[in-house]
Amino acid sequence: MSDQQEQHGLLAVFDEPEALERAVERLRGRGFTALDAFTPFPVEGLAEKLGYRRSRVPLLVLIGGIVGFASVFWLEAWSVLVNYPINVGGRPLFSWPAFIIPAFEGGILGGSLCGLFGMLALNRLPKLYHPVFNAPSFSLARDDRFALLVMSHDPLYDRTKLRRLFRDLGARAIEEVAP
Amino acid sequence: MASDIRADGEAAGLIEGRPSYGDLSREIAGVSLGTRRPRFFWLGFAFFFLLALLFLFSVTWLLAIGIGTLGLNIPLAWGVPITNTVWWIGIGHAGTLISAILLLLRQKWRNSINRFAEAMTLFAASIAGLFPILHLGRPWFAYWLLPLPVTHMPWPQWRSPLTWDFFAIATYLTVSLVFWYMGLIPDLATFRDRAKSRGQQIVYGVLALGWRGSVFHWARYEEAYYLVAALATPLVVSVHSVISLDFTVAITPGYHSTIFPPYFVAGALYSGFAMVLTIAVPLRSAFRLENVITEKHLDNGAKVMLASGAIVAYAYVNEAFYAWYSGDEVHRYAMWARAFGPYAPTFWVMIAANIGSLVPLSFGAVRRRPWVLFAIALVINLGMWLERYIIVVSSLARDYLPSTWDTTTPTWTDYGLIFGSIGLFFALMFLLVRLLPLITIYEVAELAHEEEAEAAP
Amino acid sequence: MSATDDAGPNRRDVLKLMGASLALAGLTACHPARQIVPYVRQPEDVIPGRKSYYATTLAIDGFGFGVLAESHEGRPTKIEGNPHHPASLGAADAILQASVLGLYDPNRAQTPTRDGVPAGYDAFLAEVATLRGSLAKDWGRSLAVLIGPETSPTLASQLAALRAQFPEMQLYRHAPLATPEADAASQAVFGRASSPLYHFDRAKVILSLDGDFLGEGGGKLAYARQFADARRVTGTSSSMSRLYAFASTPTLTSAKADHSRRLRASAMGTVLTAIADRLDGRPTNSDPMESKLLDAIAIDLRQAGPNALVIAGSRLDTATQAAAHRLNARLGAVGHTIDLLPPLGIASDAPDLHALADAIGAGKVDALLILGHDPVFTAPGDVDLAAAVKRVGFSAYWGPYADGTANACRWHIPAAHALEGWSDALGFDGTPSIVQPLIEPLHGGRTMHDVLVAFLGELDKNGRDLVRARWSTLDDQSWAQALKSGVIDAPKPTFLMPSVTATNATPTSPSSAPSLELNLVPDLYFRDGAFAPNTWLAELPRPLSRMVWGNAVEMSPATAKRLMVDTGDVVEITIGSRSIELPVAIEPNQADDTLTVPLGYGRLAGGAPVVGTSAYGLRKQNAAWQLPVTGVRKTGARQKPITIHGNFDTEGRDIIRTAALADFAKDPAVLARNKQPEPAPDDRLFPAWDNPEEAWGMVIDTGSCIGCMACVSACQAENNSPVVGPEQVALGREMHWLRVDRYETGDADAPQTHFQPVPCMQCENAPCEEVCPVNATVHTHDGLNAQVYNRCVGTRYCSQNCPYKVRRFNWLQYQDFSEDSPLSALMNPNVTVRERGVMEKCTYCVQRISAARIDAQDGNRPIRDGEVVTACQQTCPTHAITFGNLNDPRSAVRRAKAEPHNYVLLAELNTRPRTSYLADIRNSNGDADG
Repeated sequence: MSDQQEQHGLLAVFDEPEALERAVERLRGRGFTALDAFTPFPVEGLAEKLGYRRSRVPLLVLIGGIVGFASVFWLEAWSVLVNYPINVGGRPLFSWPAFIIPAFEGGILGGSLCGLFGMLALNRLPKLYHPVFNAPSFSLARDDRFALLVMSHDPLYDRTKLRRLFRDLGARAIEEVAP
Repeated sequence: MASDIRADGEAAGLIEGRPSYGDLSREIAGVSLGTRRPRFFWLGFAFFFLLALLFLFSVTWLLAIGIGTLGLNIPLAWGVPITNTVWWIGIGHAGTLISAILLLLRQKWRNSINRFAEAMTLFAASIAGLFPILHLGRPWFAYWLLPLPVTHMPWPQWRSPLTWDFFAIATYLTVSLVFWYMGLIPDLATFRDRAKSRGQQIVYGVLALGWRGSVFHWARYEEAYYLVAALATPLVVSVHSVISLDFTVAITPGYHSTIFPPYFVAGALYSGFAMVLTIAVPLRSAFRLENVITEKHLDNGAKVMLASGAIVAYAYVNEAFYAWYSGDEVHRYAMWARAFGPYAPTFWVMIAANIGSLVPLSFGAVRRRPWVLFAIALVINLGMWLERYIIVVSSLARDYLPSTWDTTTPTWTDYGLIFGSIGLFFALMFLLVRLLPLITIYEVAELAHEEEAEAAP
Repeated sequence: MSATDDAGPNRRDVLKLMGASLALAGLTACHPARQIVPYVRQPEDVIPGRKSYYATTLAIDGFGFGVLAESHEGRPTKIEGNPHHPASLGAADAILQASVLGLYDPNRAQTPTRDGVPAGYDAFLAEVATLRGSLAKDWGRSLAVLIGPETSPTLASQLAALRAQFPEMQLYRHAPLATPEADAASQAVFGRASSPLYHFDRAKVILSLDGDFLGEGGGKLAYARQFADARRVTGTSSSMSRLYAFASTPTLTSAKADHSRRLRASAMGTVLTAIADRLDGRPTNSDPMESKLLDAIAIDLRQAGPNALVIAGSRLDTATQAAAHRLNARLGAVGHTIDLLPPLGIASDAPDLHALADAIGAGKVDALLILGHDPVFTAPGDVDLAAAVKRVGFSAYWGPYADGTANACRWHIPAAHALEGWSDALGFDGTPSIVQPLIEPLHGGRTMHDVLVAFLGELDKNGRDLVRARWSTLDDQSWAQALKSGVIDAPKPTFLMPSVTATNATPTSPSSAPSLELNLVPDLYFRDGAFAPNTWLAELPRPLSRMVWGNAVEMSPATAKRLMVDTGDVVEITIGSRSIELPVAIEPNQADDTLTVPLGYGRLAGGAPVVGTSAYGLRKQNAAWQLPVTGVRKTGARQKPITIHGNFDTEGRDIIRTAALADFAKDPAVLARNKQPEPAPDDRLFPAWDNPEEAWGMVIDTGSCIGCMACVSACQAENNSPVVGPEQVALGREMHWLRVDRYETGDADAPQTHFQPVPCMQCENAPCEEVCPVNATVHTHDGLNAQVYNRCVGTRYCSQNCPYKVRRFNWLQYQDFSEDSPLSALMNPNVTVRERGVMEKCTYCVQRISAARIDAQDGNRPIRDGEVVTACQQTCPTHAITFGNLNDPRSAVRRAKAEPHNYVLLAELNTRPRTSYLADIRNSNGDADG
């Protein structure tokens, strides 16, 4: 109980992604749920091991694309049919084949923007402060630091047991993270 | 082709000397964060910066006096600016191809060159975007192409390829920026944590948006990154196709040809990869990145050039053939005049540069000699610029009514725009090298990790 | 046109008011109408915003052309032909069209000068007054007056009055374009000097030997009309007159000939001999060319008889011209297709410059008055007039520009423009008409009558009084009528009924023809140099050489090869001891061994640009036209002549359609040779837009077009087109909305030249509109391809996509937008003045359409056929352009489009142009060509 006030969790840093993966498997096996891992580059499959399910990023991108396409196409049609109909080169007002191209670009634009901002939103970024930044051993400076964080609100959270466990797993550094 | 590159990639090793991850990122980031820069860096920067000033001057002159300062007339109302647009956009496309398409194709060899390839895209596309505006008669009204609900003008004319251009290039710029920044976020975090001075920590810290490399973040990040790449891929094809429609839609003989969209995209890759090599070869030797940008990369780049160049060569033949096959006397004459008319010398230089370069490129020995490749790349850069110039100008010089035939030659302002824009481009590249990781640390690290894993029995 | 009816008396009130307001505007500072002063009293016939027309007369080479001057609130902005005047018949040529620019020309002299220093006109009057005193002592023996080619009856009476005061005064006449051989010839044949008057409406067969009746002379507009009317093709059953032309240098006439041959001037006589021999059945000794052609000509002439007409260029040698006269007489043409008038020029027999120079040399002249025409510039090479004039105690020059003569003379009195003062002139047929001012002199210029008034000591008389006095025979009503109609109803000079003498004398062609002969010709637009300062004319392409902003020595390809020179090589041409340097221009239709140099170039006139090089210095005596060339030397320098649209080859494309009348009558389809498949009227990819009200269309008859460029000049005046200058033109940036292309069919030995005026085609499927990103060029409800200047951002994509390349772009700031621009008053207020970076093009004179529509809506009626007349159409001497509403089944344009020889340019592109062409049908003689 008291741990939750005074600390955010316990951080273990490994040298090898494989070591980290072993640690994750072990803790998940023991039923830990409030886990997070920090790696300098994406480690395939690790997220799933931590209980990650497909995100809604693709859906957002799809919506963005459709909205982008539709709005541009609508603007084109409305502007030539309703707002300012005029004979241009004897062509029909509603020259839809020509309208597709700007609409297509609009779709791409909408999709990409939703991709970036959707990803950031779902990741709750930007977030310039996070407790792990307090941990001296936490750093993305080098790409051989693979950190595992057990958060203090995990029901199974027990500092001493975890330390022992991490040491067995061969962590290079173990430290408590202040909130 | 993709698959065999991958096979080679695994066999020959895309990162040489098996450095530890730490060394790798230190090595790469060192290029930017290291405090001491070799003298040639500043000399080079100074040179290109002066050229950039020439660009500034030419543009100022152009805006002050008028578009009449360029070598244009009726019928040759388009010239160097449009040529530059197409050329620069083409260069940009190689960047997107490397970063997006090769990412989707899981071409690992891309990793160590894609960052500056993306930057190349950004700078090239921005410069390309300048020229259509500069070449307006009244550039200060360029915003009239925007769909703005203002009373003094109606909407854009949606049937015009120039309107399409506007949307295509604007989208292309934005998406390239998005893609580039997304790729940059993790490395910015690395910089943040490596940075010594407070100032750097703050700047990189803010730019990194508080990235902490959480596995969950990585998962969403990769999804988004791949999706944007997937969107950028059709985009890059569409952009140059749209550019080519500027010509295809016009009824001018020599413009009006359905081969243009694929032909232009291939041409874009051809000149784009030439530019990649033009930058990569000096870069790797200057900053001793030989073990990151390996001969394998150069070889693969050269192979792309070989393939796209072959398509371009085919397009030349195809264009001539259909001019003849169409039976249209005007179209036939325009093609004949292209090769034997007033711009014949330019044409043959172009042919020699673009098709001639394919011969050495088809020898593996040549492809593995960096500085030879560099020379070839320069020739192709020139050849592809001439190609666009020939298409734009020679077609106009000989169109329907013989009484209106005329020619024109570039003025010093034209040359100022050409070389000035080149200077601006490279000056920006120098700054980039100084300020940002020019190679994706996390991807190279990932690659190294995988290779080690594979190497281990 | 309506306003002309209520012109007349209260026009003078307008003048007073305008004079006042313009005077307020500080005219001497050369800022016409800088500030608009409101009318004190609104004259009833001036409605602001509504133009009015006044009939007046403009002179070219001294011959009067009746014109209607368009005036906007007192500003003359445009010249149209006066339908009532026989010399214009409603048409105007390029020079007349450009004369409004001459009015506002900032390079005109602004103030009288004494020894080059500005001085008041009063000082001049005072000096003249004292001079009169001294002159009176010796009956004016020491007074010399030098006039140019003038026909003004008022001037004649003034000179008579002067002679009355100073019986001993010396009168000299200098006409650089005079043709003494013509007078000598008619003297030889008809016993007295005379000037011919042709009747092309009666002529069936015309033989022209360097005679350019379409391009030169006081009758050119009338002749062009007659000629075109006699050759108009409607349907397949038409009769045409037939024109054979021999030309040493191609002219508009030789270009329109059914059979044309290149022949050096000195050989023209042999043609006449050969034909005369054939007519007389005499055995021909030597034919200068294919006998077949000469036979055909002879047969045609004999058949035509009195309806035949033989015209020898008035600059050919006397013998040849005499032979032509005799041929006419022999055929009975004299009195039928050709009439003879007494010479119209004033004192045409007065002694010339040489005599004046001698008199000065002999110290016989103390006072010299020069009335215009810059004789120092036009003097032959062996007369140093400037030096001579400087030796004269008192010398005064009346002329519009501070030119060479002005610099040589003590006094320079700026001349008023013809639109600024009173005078009168005779037309080519002797019809007198009045020159009346539309505006107070902008720079305080004086008419020549004003100057003479000073010498006559009748300072109380103003110009109007003088002219009115000259025509005192008219009562006030017929005077008003004369002012209104622009023609004085006076008895025409009677035709001479000559008795032909020495009929059988045959011309002796110069046996020793020089190996290389030089033809001097007056420039088509600069004439003797009088119009050289006019930048519109300087930038107007010469119809055949296409040259602008300079002259060159023209020669045939063969001659160029022989001399080992090419276009752009600067050569030094030596005639005796004199020589000039000129660039070479190669003219395919030029006779071999003949060099041609146009006169009128290289004139210094105030601040006006000096255009080209003067060739007057090559002349030994005045009016020498053919000179034996001593030598031609390549200087090594290069100077490419600046040309506009200089490619005459159709490349075998279906651009010009032409056929012989006989073949066309058999089967009109003969025209459609080598044509591309055309889309049927109804095969369209998408439904056509309909024009509920009018659907404007135009038909241009390439058969009638003589390529005189009047339409181009008219378009420039109507639509405020700028002059861009030689550098810009050399870059290919000329701004004419309308161009007249020249194409050559047939080979160099039997050249056939075609002219094709190309305005905007006003395509229904306009390719330009489809590609404009900002809707700056769109279609109007009445089917015009509109150009919205203030919406244009200048992508120039429209021009890229225009297969006719009729769009023009403001590459730089060509127009002077500053409020004190001297040309601001010249601008047509109904046409936007375009800014830098904006695309522009022909709009079928949309401003005229709007004006007509407003009138029609006032009258609550549809626009009548012929109510809208485009500028090019109105000025065309041959009525080659038809314009109107295609929705009106009875409109002239509909009828024209129904003609079997109607075709559209580049029909295969499916642009559906509203402008179409009538094919160039020639009345070729099947027996003439081998």
